[in-house]
Amino acid sequence: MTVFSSLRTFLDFVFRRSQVEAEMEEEFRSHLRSRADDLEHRGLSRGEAEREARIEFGGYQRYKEECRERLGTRVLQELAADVRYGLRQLHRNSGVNIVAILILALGIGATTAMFCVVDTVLLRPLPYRQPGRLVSFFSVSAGSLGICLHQAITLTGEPKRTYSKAWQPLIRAPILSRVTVLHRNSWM
Amino acid sequence: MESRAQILPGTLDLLILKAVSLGPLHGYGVLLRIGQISNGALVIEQGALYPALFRLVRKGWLKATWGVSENNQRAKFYELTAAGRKRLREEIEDWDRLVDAIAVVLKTRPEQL
Repeated sequence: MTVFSSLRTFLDFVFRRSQVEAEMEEEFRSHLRSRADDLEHRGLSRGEAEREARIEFGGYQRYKEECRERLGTRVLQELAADVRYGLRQLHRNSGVNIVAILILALGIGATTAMFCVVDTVLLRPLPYRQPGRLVSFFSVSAGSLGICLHQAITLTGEPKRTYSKAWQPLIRAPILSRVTVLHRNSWM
Repeated sequence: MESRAQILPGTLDLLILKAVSLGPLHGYGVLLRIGQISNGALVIEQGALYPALFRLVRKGWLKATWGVSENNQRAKFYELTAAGRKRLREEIEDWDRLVDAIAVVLKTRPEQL
């Protein structure tokens, strides 16, 4: 019900705004005329009657504004006015604004490009079956501080004997497969 | 001027619904009818009527159609919808309850406490 009536308000605002406004104006004017007619019948001159009718009516524009509010179009009307004002301001300081827009565009473009690279290099899974189970093996040689790349295999593809029993517990640990993904450039 | 009553906030809806329930009316007609049936005791600032009418239409209690008034002018006529009739009944019940409650309070004497 409320969604439906909001939608109707919005559509009325977009497509029938001038008609709604014209009808409101006509309704108010018709009221003033009828009132002035009555006052004229009571012996006032036409001019006096019209003046008196307006005074009795009260704030003409204020009540129109209140009617718009009741129709729910006031918010939309103010929004439209704000957008128009914004565009006018943009037009007025066009030099500064063009520079500002260019800087924004450059910033957004650079960030997007950067993200694309990081996404493909670091974040996307590798293009293999079960990429989460892909591991690389490192072994530390006795008596040396250096770490050398020992072997890289896929757990699903290669026969089990290619890695020793000593590696088994590490392979099951999830941390190893994550390390693997980060290091894949070093062995591919 | 002394015999004229200020309209309590919230009672304008009730008066409009009642006036319109007696037959379709345009805005000015609503004012005339309220004035007529209250013998001029109730006055509404004329312009203030319209925001109330617009709201009642939006709530679905009144329906507005353009027609021709008694002095041959195009005018917007308001009439009660089925939902409006139901609403009027509810508002009248609420009003009666309020009046009864206030009447009881006002009639209370010290020895009754």
